[in-house]
Amino acid sequence: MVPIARRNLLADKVKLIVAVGGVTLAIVLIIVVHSLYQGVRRETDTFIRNLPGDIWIVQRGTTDLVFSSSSLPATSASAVRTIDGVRHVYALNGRLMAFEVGGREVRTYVMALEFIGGSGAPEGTEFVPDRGTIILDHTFAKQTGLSEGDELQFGDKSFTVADVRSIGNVLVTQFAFITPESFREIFNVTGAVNYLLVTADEGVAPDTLIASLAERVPGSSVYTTDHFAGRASEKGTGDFLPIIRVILVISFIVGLAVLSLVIYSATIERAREYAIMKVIGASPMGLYRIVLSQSVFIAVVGFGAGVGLAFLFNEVAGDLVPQFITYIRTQDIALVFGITIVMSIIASFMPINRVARVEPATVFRA
Amino acid sequence: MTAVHPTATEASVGSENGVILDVHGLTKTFGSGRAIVHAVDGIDLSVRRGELVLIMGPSGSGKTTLLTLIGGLLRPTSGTVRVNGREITALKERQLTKFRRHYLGFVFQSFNLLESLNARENVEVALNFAGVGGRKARRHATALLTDLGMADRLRAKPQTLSGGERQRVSIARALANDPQLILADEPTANLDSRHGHEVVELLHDIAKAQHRTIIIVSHDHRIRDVADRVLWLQDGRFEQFEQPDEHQSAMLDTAGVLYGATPQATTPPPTARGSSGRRGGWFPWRRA
Repeated sequence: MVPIARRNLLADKVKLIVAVGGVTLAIVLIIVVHSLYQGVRRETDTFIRNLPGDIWIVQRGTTDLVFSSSSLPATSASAVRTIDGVRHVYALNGRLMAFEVGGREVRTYVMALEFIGGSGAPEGTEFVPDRGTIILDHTFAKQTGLSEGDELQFGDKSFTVADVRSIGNVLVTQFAFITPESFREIFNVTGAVNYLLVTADEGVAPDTLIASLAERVPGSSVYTTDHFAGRASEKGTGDFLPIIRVILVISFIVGLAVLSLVIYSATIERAREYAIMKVIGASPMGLYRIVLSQSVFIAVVGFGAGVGLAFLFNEVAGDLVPQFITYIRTQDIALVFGITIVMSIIASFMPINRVARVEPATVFRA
Repeated sequence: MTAVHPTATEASVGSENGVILDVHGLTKTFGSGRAIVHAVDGIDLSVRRGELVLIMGPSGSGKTTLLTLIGGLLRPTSGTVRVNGREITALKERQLTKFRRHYLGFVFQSFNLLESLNARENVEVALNFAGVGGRKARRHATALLTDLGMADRLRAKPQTLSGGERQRVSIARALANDPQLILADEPTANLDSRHGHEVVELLHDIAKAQHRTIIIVSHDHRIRDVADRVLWLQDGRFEQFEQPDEHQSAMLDTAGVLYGATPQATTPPPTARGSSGRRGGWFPWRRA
């Protein structure tokens, strides 16, 4: 079959470039914004899962690590230890801290993981540095220009950077670790802990411990790590959602508007050709297919270019702005492809209506 | 001149008395009340297979409207059009499209080629619409264009073709689906003398060698030389000139000066229906 739609589009390359460019811009915006949202979600989720513990005990009402606070009595740690099926208990404390680095102030969310007790060797030792040192997230280090061996000042206390690695970056802040002793010295929190992390004995399902743990720690909420990671990543990014939705809608409208205008003007310009095709035997459905094919062709090319550019943009933006974390999932690409196809179908409505009204007899006018 | 081969289909398809087109009481009015315009006013016409009929007349006489009515591109106010025995005025839009695809070919004054397609694709696309695709369509389009002397211009875009070449592509497209009736609207109007003559010869050869019926609407007097009948349309009616009076003779002279058309009154051929009486009917003008 003669690819009329493609030939029509390629006949006017400037218009084609404008249309594909508009769709590409919309796709880039949609993917980048969505990948930023997914990136923050994934970082929160990964950070919680990387810490030791099958179960998280938090103060009732606590939703996440950064945007809500949690405080539990320090004595509950020893109370939890005595429950059957509990293997290890860890205390996790955290505060947003402002350090002085080379005369300027930098903020990071500093945590301290403490092994309270249990049978066998503790886990998560990679989160416990030596006294007087600090482990930094690589994003924070890149942002501040800090590297191993550098000094951070907090009041009269000084911390040497012991390690820089991927710990956790949730866009608004990054996580860092110091020793529990240093944390206590700075904040003087002897009677309370923020979170308790519990590891279950081998062969014990974490779910089965939830009721007894909740009973032992009054005023708490107990979650499996999976549950809390999901909840925290969802709640932690929840505030962005309305903004992200607005940007997604704007992107969709931009893409739709450009695509609609180009397809409509291309149809108007070739109204006579549609009339000719009607005269020589094209069915209305055949003509609609040509219009729709043009729209889908532009949309798909724009989608391909948009996906490629979005990856490139994320890479470059991540290098320039370290806290710009993105994550592009296959299912999100599939969803955006679906949105693109919907966009192309809507964009072809008006032109199809115009083609339907083309009078074939007009071709006899010279 | 290029060779035009007879087609197998032509030999097998038949209709009553070889009449391929039968128009009866065809009327088309535009507007209403005092502003009503009778573009076509009670036309009767019968055309046989293989006939080349030329319809002439001054601008605004209704020639093109008549052609669009015969081609099923415009619905008549009243009257009927039968092509190959089938009344097309009763067909629904979808049936009309299908009918046009297989039974009618169109040749236009301004060629009406699709600018983004090359010569071969312009012919191929008509085949595609009729459900013929792929290599078969490409081969057939190539053969048609080769027959019309366009073998070396298959991949040329319309804008790079001369007027005569464009019209050949347009004719090849009209022939693509082997139609029995070809309607041509001023096919030589945009061509110079040489190319115009070639197109006229080509249409004549197609009518005679392939036994296709061709109706041409034109001002071009050269076509009179090859037409089997010349009809004169005036104010939406075929004018009768059995014995031209002074006024009619003056009009013919004027037409001859203006359009080169000097029809002669003759008796109608056996297939031509006589005057309906009510509107004065029509008589063909056969060249001497």
